[in-house]
Amino acid sequence: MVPYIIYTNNPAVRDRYASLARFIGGDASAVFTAVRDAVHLGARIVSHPLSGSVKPWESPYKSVAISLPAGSADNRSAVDFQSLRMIEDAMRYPSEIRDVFNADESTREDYRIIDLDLITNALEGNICPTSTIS
Amino acid sequence: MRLEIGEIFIKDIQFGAVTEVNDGTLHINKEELAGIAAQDDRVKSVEVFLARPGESVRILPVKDVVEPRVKIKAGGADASDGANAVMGGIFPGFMAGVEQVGSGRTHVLKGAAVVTTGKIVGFQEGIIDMNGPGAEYTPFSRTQNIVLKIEPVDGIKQHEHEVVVRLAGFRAANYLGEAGKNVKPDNEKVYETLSLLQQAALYPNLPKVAYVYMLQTQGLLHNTFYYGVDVRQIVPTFMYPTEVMDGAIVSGNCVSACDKNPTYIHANNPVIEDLYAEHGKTINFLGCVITNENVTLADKERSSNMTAKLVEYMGADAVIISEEGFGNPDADLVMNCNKIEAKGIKTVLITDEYAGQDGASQSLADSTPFGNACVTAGNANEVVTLPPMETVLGFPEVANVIAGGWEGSLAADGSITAEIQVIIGATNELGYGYLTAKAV
Repeated sequence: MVPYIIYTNNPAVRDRYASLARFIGGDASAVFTAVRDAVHLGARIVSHPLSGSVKPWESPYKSVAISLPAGSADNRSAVDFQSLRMIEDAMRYPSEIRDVFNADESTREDYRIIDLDLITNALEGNICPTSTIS
Repeated sequence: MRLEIGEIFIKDIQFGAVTEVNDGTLHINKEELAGIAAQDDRVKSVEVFLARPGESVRILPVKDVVEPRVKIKAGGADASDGANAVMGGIFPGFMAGVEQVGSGRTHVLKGAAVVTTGKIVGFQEGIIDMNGPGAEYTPFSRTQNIVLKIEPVDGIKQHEHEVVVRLAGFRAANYLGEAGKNVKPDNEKVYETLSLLQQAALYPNLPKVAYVYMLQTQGLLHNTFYYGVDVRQIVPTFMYPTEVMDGAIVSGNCVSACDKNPTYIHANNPVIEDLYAEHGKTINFLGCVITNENVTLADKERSSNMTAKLVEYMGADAVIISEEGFGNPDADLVMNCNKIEAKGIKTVLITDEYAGQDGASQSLADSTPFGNACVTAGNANEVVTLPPMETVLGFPEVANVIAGGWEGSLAADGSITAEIQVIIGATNELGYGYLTAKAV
């Protein structure tokens, strides 16, 4: 099994991590909601949802790595409450999407690159065995 | 480790034929400075401007602020080696080798600052106003600023652009720092931290205090370096407090202007200054543990475990923990607090808040009942209107897309309405600023 997957709405992350990415159509809130739902089914958060000082309500793109529960027939396991608290705290922040989303293509590319860089730094060569559930 | 700091007070800056300090004025050969800052094949052009306190000048987007310093002599074992002494230089790992710094003697052009501007990403932020209400929020409205507008060659990507602008600032600061080499300082300071056992024995009746210095390390535009190493890649380690005064820690951060630590503030870390000020009086300051703020939970667990282990090993009774940034680092702050308190060591946390424009939202992304002694540097979401300035240095067109601003932030008359997070140092979590709060 793969140790983790990435929930993302960033095409650059989807393209770089084709086999790991689960592409979410929508804004950062939609990514957070998908992560929260997965956590309720037993997934654990691998990378912090509020990564980066570009705040989620300011960046059009967001990627969160999670590890999936394994071993049970229906792919469910007990809820990890640290992960649940973390994603719910992240979702508490203002979800108001500002007009930066109308930014020009060059600025949107900057946002995509930053988000890709944050998740790449987090994951490449850096995955600890404890981030998988066995 | 003992460091002498000679402060040369700079009260004015002027362009001139020769770069020199004369009677409190820093004269700068503009072409020579621009040439040195541009010594990089990836730089297309460097323009130099001056911005003095009180002038109607706005600088944006500010990449970094750097203080001119120069190493005068080595310390410790190196010094006794006479002519063969290996003297570290300011910004080890970048502008000098990786020799140990933090001892010997260093001169500082106190009151001068190199401010770099570069349009690295479209939404970049960072404002310094030299006048008006915005000036109250940034400590760099009170410095004599040498502003570098740096354009890279065409086609350069974001990662490399950040490096180009960062290094240009260090070259410029070191070039100006050299002007203080043979100048008699106006003020002398001495800082000393002994080896751990000697330090603990020196003031046996005072509480032993360590400083946990959290550094922003999440990735592109969120980097901090220690002797040239990306701090994301280290495990927490001990640092003599004087090392920062020679530029051992430098900033690669471009995002989150209000609560990032520019290179200038690392060198003048007020937490370290204040701990030294109380050293031998009310506390016994043991030294610093530097740690990172990575993105994965595994990294966070590992680093906070190591940090707690180190301060326990040092025998600290109490620890000051400062954060850099917001959101993801809140988790590191809370883990550090919990694990250190679990060892019976008291903690005081320094942070800032993102509590919404009305101040009514949750301030941090994480919390802990152990965080019962906490200092805030303010609410970064507070909205301020910055009136127009006669001169705008840098890249004024970015005002509309900076984080903390919104479409329409920039009015036709040049005024900007935005959250104070756009202002350099507005909620600096080392407390380097002039704003305070009073109970009424």
